Amino acid sequence: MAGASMNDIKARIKSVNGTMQITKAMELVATSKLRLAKAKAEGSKPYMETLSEAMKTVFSFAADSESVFVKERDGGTLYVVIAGDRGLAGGYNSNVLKLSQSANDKNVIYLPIGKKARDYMQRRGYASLTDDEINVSDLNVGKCFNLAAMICEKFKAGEFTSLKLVYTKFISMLSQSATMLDLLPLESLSQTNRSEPIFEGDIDEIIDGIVPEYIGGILHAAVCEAMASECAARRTAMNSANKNAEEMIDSLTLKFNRARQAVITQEITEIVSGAEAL
Amino acid sequence: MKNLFLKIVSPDGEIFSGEAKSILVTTKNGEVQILSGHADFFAPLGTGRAKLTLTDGKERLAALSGGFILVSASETKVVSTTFEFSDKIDLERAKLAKEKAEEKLRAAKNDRDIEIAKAKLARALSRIAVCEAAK
Repeated sequence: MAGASMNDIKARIKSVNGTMQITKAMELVATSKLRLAKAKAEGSKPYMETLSEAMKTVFSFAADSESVFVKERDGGTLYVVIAGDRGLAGGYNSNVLKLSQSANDKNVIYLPIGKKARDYMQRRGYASLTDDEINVSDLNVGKCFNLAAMICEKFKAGEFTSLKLVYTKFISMLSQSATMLDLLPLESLSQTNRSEPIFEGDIDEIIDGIVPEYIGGILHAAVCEAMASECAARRTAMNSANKNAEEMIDSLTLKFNRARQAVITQEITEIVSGAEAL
Repeated sequence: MKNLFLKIVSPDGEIFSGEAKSILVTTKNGEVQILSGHADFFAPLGTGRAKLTLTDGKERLAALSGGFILVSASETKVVSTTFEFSDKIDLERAKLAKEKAEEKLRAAKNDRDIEIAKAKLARALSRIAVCEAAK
């Protein structure tokens, strides 16, 4: 009996060890990927900040613009949801997907970015903007701008009349938070007391021309941040998986030693009582 | 003469931040040069060259496409989709891109394809021109 349970424990220790090897390897991979992704996310920050700041200045003079991007219209909402291509990243995917569900607007279309987001929307039978499979890992600058141009065209055509972006903000190595941004229609800010700049060309035309680039820039920065967040989340998740595996192996080893000791004690008792009987 | 405070950013990161004598950029309507004390100004950028004159009078050429320039009293901001100084341009790649764009232009069937190919060609040509002018 004791022998059988000893073998069970041995088999479990072996399997936990195998899992730990995988999680350890994944942690190392995530750590090295994180370094790259973090540099990229930080590199895209000055662009995003300067872009948003400058756009705010411009939009403050566009409150009475006739551009479709500024006017409020009735219609559906497009949610661009950026999640990961792969799982095993702790709460990373589920947090961002949950947030995308929090608003219960009617008339919602989704643009899932990343395999996990796509699977989730498909499983629930939500309407998707395109049938193209967009993965986070192969979204470079050019593709972000193409995507933004496509979104803006459909926005102009009235397929949806507001645009929201759901992604995971990279705050630090240890903290990331799912965030929702309202992108379109552009918030018409109240007139600031700054003097109006000289605009080269008609302001409506300028806005129509610049909005796709603005969306593209924001999209690119969001993708960079989401990638860094994913790596960081995965690293944290794998780190705690390692710790759990170590704890489990420790307690299993203890159990194994106790069982072995019990077998030895039993054998001695048997021999002693056997000798006494002689 | 006073210097202007200039910031150039692209999706790849911050490209320039600091004082400069002047900046020349290609807008949708042509080239514009900004010196310190310029009135508040905003223009979308086209595809073409940029010329940055540093405080010591040295000039740096660059190829840019897309984005905009915003001039205010405190700071001039160039937010561009691509902005590459001449020493960062890969000439071989630009030449290859030019050939590819020309091929696409010949094969293009609808207006949209033609437009995309033309934009690609313009970007490649501006890179090549900047590279050759910097030599």
